[in-house]
Amino acid sequence: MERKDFRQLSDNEFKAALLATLNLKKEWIASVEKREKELGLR
Amino acid sequence: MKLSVDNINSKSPYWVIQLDDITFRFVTKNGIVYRVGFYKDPYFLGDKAYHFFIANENESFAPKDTDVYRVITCVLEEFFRQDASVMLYICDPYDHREATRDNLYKRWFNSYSRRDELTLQAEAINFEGFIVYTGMILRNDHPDYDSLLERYKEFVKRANKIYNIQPK
Repeated sequence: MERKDFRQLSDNEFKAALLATLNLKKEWIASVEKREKELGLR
Repeated sequence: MKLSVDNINSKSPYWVIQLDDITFRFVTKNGIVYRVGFYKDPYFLGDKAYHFFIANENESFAPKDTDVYRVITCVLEEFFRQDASVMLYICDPYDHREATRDNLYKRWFNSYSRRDELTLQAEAINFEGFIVYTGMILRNDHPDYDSLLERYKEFVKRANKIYNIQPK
């Protein structure tokens, strides 16, 4: 999702951003695993 | 932002490896691998805030280990050593342990020796039937202290308004 000030988001866009925020941990873990592979830790 | 693993390791009970500027990994005496780090908030507070995450490698049950808590304190101390650092947390609701996690953050904050230098604003959001516990921690001398707090409160109010939650 394109970064916008949340005060300018429609309700649907806000809900989508909230859902995406709740899924950030999965995104973070995927990025950590990728980095661990690059460093030969996995 | 770049955090110093040397600063972290100067106090940490476990040896911490730096994966990137803001992400770390350590292994406990029980052989549990933890990752801990920060992720720039992409939606709500722009590039002024970072989500804090911690996870063990298999997201599985781990024996109680107070040294893990001490490592986390070292990482958070290093984070808050930065001038303009804002930390957000969201307690993962999917295994129904979100309230426990929220309490852990509050306990950490209340027992932190330098808590007088920080502000914790914690709120719950109702999201499609889940109560999502969130919090923001920032330094009291943050240059955007008032506007960030106001923005966080606006965000919570908006989220609860969307789901028709009446204020208590």
